[in-house]
Amino acid sequence: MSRLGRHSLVLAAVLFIWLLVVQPVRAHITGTPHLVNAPAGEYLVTVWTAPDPVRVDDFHVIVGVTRPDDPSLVLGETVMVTAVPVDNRHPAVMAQTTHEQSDNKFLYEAYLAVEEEGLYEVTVTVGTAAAGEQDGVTFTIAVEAARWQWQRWLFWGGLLFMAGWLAWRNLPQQLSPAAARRPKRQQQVANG
Amino acid sequence: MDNPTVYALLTSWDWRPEVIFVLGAAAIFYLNGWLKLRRRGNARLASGWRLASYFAGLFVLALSLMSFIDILGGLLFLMHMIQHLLVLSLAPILLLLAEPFPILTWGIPGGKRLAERLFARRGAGRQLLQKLPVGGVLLLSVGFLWGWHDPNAYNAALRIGWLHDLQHLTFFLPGMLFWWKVTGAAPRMHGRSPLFPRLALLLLMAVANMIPAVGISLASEPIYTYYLDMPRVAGIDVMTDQVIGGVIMWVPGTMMYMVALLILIFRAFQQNEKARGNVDNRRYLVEAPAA
Repeated sequence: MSRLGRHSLVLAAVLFIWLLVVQPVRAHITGTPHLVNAPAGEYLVTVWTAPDPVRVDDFHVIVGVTRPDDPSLVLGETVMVTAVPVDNRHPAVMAQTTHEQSDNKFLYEAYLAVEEEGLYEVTVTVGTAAAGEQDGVTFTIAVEAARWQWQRWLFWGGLLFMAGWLAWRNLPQQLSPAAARRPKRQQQVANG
Repeated sequence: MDNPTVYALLTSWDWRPEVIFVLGAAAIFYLNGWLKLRRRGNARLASGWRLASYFAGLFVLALSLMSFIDILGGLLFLMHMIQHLLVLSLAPILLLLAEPFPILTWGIPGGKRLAERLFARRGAGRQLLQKLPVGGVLLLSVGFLWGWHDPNAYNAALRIGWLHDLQHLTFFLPGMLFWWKVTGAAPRMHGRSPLFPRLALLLLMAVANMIPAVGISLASEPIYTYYLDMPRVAGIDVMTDQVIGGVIMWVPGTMMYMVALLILIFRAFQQNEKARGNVDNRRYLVEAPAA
């Protein structure tokens, strides 16, 4: 293979690895859709989960709320999410979704701190309980065990390494131990 | 802020560390090179407007990759078209007008050695850029533009995060190559690069951009089915969104190429006038002593 071909291949590989490594650090797409415009009381809800697959230590639910007569997203509602294990061996987890937790402030998002892997039934309700307007929609999702996120460590470790390397290269000569040793060696060579 | 929709729009940001890292490094290295050149008295290359243009280019990239433009691109086709316009044309133009190559060469530690190695007579960078003809750059740009506007590819890019990033990368890099040929920025390996191929490049790209844009604008049903399952923002229905998005790609998208084309023609006339003026002056200087 020519030099040009080798360099192009290396560049393509670096770009591909970069994309693979950084993607799990923060996926910026909305997530995996589970319900699309499902009726929940007087509202329609669209529900996504992220990441794919969801894990014990990383389980986000994202909700979009609209009205049947107006397709615009409704802001400022109370949206609750509850995850109940299908086998009922662990406690249910409940969280209130907010716009603040979501990158997309038109949507609602919550982090669900489930304790164990397994199948969960997730219910999304819109409206306040006091007004008696809570009507939920439900879907089932498999939550996988937590995984050591090597990509995150590789990303931040790589950054730290590069910063350290750059700092080392730019150290003033008198501070650098390698530079301080250099004249002695040169002297030894000169003295034979 | 009183209007919750405007508030939600302006506060929708996704601070992506990998984007911040790359743009931050690009800003620091450029600023470092710019300051070094200024200290050496080369204010012509390291001018104030070039610094402003470079940082405007980085800002446009940050805006298109992390702001509500990126976030709402998942809900609104028109936002995604604005994003493509910024990544494909505006950011590359602003960055290349700032002559990033010589200034970054001064700013990156070991940059001069790296540039010498890459752009030496048999260096990989020189070979790659010299072997890439104007037609190749056009094919690359049009290929990615048309390819990503295929409904299946487009829908997949919106569902898969890394594919979405790849889409933007394959818009930005060929965009940089395309505008590098047009602007004639350094490294100057454009061959003789006369005016005509550059004008033809712009004209053909404008037509290539218009073909899908007109098709999208005039379609009678939704082309990108991904948006059918999305809740709507500000009451914009799927078809209106598609028409506006198509028009954004069509009018401002094509205008970028046409404005550049007019600037090139204007500059060619200016240079021609200047050259003619020089010839007249020389004739005067030669003839003056005799008179």
